[in-house]
Amino acid sequence: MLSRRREDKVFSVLIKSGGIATIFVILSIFFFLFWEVLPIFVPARIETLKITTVKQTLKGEVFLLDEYMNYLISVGNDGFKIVNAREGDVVSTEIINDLHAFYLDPLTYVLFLVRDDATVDIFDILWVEKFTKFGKRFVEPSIDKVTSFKLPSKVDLIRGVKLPEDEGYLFIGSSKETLYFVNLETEEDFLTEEITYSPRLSSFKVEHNVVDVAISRDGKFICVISGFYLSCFERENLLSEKLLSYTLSSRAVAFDFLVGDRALVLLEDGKPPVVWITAKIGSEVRFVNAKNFSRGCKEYINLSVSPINRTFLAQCGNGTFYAYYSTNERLLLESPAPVLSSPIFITPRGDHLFWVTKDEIYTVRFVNDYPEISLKSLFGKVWYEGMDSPSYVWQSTGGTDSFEPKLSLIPLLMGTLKGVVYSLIFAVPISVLSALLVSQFMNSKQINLIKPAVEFMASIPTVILGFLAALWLAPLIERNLFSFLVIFVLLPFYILVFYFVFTVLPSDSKWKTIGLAAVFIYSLGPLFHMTKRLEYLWFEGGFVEWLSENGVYYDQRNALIVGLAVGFTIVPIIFSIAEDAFSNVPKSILVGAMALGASRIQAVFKVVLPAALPGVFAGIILGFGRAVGETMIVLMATGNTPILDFSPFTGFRTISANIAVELPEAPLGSSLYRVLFLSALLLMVIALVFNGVANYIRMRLHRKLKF
Amino acid sequence: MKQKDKVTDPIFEIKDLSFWYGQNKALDSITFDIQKGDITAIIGPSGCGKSTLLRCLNRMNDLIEGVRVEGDILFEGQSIYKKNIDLIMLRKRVGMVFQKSNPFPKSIYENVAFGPRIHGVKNKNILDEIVEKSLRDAALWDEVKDRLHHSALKLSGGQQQRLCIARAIAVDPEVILFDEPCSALDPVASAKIEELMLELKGKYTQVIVTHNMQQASRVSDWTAFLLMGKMIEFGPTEQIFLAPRNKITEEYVTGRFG
Ligand SMILES: Nc1ncnc2c1ncn2[C@@H]1O[C@H](COP(=O)(O)OP(=O)(O)OP(=O)(O)O)[C@@H](O)[C@H]1O
Ligand SMILES: [Mg+2]
Repeated sequence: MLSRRREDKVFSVLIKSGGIATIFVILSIFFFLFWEVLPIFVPARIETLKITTVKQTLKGEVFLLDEYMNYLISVGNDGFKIVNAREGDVVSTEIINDLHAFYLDPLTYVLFLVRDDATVDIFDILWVEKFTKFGKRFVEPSIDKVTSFKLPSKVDLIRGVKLPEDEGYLFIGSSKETLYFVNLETEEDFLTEEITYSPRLSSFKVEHNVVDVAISRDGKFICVISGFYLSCFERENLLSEKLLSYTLSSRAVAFDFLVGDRALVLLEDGKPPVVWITAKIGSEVRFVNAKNFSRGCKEYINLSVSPINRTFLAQCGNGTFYAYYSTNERLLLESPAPVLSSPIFITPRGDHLFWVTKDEIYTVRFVNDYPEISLKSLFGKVWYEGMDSPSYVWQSTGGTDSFEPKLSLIPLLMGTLKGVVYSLIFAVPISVLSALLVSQFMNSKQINLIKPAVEFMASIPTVILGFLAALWLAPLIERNLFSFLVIFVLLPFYILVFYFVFTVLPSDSKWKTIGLAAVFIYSLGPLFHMTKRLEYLWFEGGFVEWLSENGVYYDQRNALIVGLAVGFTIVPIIFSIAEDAFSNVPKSILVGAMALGASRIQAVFKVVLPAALPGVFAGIILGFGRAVGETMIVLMATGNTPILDFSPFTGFRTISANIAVELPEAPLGSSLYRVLFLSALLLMVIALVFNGVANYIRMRLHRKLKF
Repeated sequence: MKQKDKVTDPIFEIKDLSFWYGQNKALDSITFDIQKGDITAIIGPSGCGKSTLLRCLNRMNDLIEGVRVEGDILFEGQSIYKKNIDLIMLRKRVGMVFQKSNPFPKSIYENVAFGPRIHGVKNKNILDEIVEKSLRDAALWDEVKDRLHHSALKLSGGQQQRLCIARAIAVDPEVILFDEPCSALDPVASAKIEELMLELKGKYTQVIVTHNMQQASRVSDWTAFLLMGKMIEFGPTEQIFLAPRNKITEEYVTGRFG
């Protein structure tokens, strides 16, 4: 007796600790996922102000820091200087006495100087890679003159960029209503491999005084503000075909292209920043005002665009500065600047901000790791650069560094839903009807045959199902789509016809059943041939071709295939839960209904089914939960294109497949990495909620049916 | 109570009925008649085949696999074991109340309306009427009239059993079969059912299987005593209880059987 009690105790402790361990594991998974997601909710901030005193007075107006913040390049009306930004020593000075105007492009590291005699010098700022004796990398600036050319007359305002892939330079200079455009193309001497630039100059007259000019760094677009009018052009159609025309309402302080060259920011006093992006309107490219920002300055003093992403900074005359992100229209940060009236600059890595006064350099760390993630970009419609309207898009990586990440979870959620819905369309009728059949109409011998088969179904590795679906089922259905659809729709009616014949035939022998079943199976062949013949007659032999001619796109690996394959995996789940629910309905109820004169079918459908319905529903929810997380089949049997439609003939990408596809490629700690964890968390919550709901319904049902 | 000692107006004529569950013979050549409008009790020790006999009367045994019947039962002169008999009609005319109350997991109203509905009554007003009348007949109306649309499973055991009677009445049967209707009820609830049976007498022919001798003697007009599948004695209740012709019957009804 004593040992028995001790045994009970040991077991109860074991069971309890097992349960607690399970809960603990689930909680840890949650905690881990949450921990990985948490950083994206931390807003951008600045921290650790550092001040370096420069040992000479700086007359510079425009500044550049290298990525390690060792050297400061200062450009002013007296020439340029290189300063050791850590020690404050001036490393080198280039005094230019006849300097008339200058421009330093902060993203392509090119410096243009105009002298009094209208000569333009172009300097490349090169970051020469060096290593300390401990092997640590750093860069030293080297300002090298590339070429110079002469303009017909002196200009006051100049802008210029270095084109990518050494294609040369673009330069624009203007004075009053004159605009000079200079294209310096790279020419390489065949023999000496010496590189020269030949400036091709074109000059234009505009109606008003030129205020500012912006050139996209790929050389494609040029925007000009003259008077109160802002216009943008393609480089080839300068001043002729306007891609944007806008009338300013107040003083324009600055405008520039963001990284990627498809978004233009304008700071106008008294307004939040205005951003235009390129959009396809019909077949034309236009700049559209697609973004709304919430805060801005009464009086701006400068604009600084991030070299690494679509962050840009605007500083106000009162010392406040704002950081924005273009894609999702986010205000990242509003903060007082450490220096009141000096303009704000951003470092090449975009991770520090700095201000320079006459004799001091102020740097702060700019923590802004996940600017592209926001509720709007995850779940809202966003008008991305180059598209024709706002949309939900998932496209996490592109070919270039300046690619605009598109992190909408909507196509993935919808893809998940699409997969689940098509799976349920196949699985629910089959599993519920067979559960009904097994629990209400079969004898124990038949049940013993069916149940292991269903259990076997559940034990097939999904990778095999995915493999079969992709390589066998998908081509098979593509070839016989029409027949498949027709038979799928007609089969229930066809079965009904046979059932009718079955009830009408008088005999009671089992040969009737076997004979009818044989006829049924044998007749499927001719039925199939008939559909083939119809397809031949109606669609000239190719239903799939006919579909695509009529605008219905057909992917070989599509929702239909996935529905069949994933449906196959959830049939056992729904079946076993539903069967359980049906068998839990007391037999006495069925008998009671039949004693009132109900037929077996009536009793089953009018009494047993309604009584078990919550259980069936729980099974469906559980199947839903399972289908939501299904990865392997979806991965293999769809094209994994994250498109947003509900056609049965196209593929889709689910959250789970997306994680499988993208996580190996996602850099640790990157935005993509975090968003993938977020989607995993979402998936887990969905699965847990569905499981919880299903179990709750089942428990209630059990309690209710217990008499 | 009864003057007659012979069944004069039989609604059921059971003729040489034998019944097998597979190899197991549960009834052995049973013959007797059931008087229309009266209450007939079937008594006998456990396992003697009372329920089996009762279920033969509306062919509920058909639901069990591997059973076999010999002999015949005439219901209103028609054999119910002939081919192509309309079972639905038979069960509509011969209702049944089970030992364990078995209301459907639906509302009280839906429980009572279930029978009429499957027999084709769709009109809401008629259904309302049937439900009320059946519940009144089952002496349940006053207790449930305010909660007709609440779950039937919330009723007490006795109320559930009366609901099952109401449900049987609702299809307007001619016969109601009771299989130990009070075995799960306390004496008060049992008394109510007995009272109800006496009230329903005349409107319906009733057949009751019971282990309770007092109950049988109180409510029934006729009593059949079964033992091991055989009919030992059948006759007016008074005779069976006061002057049984068979020695075993006497031992059984006086409680000395064993
Ligand atoms: N479904 C069945 N399958 C096989 N044998 C059965 C079945 N139902 C009853 N029997 C057998 O038939 C015989 C008569 O059973 P029956 O239920 O008719 O007895 P009863 O008189 O109603 O007993 P009780 O008073 O305990 O209800 C018993 O031996 C029983 O084991
Ligand atoms: Mg019994």
